[in-house]
Amino acid sequence: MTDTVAVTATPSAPARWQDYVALLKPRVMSLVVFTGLTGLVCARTPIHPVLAVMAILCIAVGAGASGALNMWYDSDIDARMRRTRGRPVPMGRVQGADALAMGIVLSLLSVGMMWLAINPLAAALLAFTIVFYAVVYTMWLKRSTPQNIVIGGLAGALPPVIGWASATGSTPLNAWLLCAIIFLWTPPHFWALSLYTAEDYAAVGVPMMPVVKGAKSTRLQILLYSLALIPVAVAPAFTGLGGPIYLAISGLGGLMFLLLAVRLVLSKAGDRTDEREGRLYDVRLGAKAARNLFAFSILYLFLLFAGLLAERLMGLEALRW
Amino acid sequence: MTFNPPESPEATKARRRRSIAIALALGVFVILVFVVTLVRMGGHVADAPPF
Repeated sequence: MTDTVAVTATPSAPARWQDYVALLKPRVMSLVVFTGLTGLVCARTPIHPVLAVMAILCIAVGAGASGALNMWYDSDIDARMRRTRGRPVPMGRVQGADALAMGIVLSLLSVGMMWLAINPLAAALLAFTIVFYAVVYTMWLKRSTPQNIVIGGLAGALPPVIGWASATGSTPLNAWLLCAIIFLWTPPHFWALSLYTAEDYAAVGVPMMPVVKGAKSTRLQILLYSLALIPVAVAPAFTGLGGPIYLAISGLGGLMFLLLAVRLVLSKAGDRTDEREGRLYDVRLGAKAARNLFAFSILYLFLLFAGLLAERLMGLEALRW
Repeated sequence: MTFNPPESPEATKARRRRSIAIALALGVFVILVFVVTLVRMGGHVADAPPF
């Protein structure tokens, strides 16, 4: 008998509405909505408020659909990982087929609505994002290469481009700059987390970087990606997108990010020197540096996009050099 | 031939709640399509030529 049997078992209790909400990965959805909204606002193109709300709603529902498809496909490994075993499908509260159906229906509705209400480019980008996350990342890359979250990170990076395309029907360089920031942010963010959850990934055979290349190599790659990320994150202040607030946030935030990445490289985070049992997010002695970078990376990305959003809402002009 | 055990009252209630939620979601979707149509068509729709 294998662990996967539990996944398809008879439901232990009828599903609650919260289980269906959980299928949509609301925390991921909130980040997607936030970055998508920033892209839409930064486009500086008038759009009817109702259509703007519709565009954001379509992005949110599309992200939720991706989450449901991911939870359907990954239910076998979710059931065996501490971080994910409480999800509705492995717990047996929602049948895998229901999660699949929900994912497909919401994908079709969000893309169709985006096409009808906004424009074909935004709809095509949204469809690409859903397929890239659910098929390319979840079904293919995640279980086959340690570069899974690097390439798969494109799906999480596209919402600002979709937002921008919703407002303008085009995707200029600045839209792709926002995409590049999230794309380069994803590896240091995710690998910092995986340094102290590597055992779970190893147990289910997911080739996360620390599992395949070891903690030392992962720490070095985190630093390299951080070095690439920081100048790209500052760049919008020089391309007519960001103003003085953004320049300050990206400059100071970048320095802090770099400091934490250097500390991580010098630490022993992820090394198998401390085998004490603990809860998933308990901070083991050497993993503190990884946890610090992981926590700061979330704040850093939030502040970057909040800075851009705040400047637009306050009517501040972008810097001209 | 398969035997399906009778559904528990709790499961019946859950299924009913789910059906109502789906119906409400469909209703919201119809309203959204209607509102978006109005916005996209703009004002003075009734004055526009039929073809």
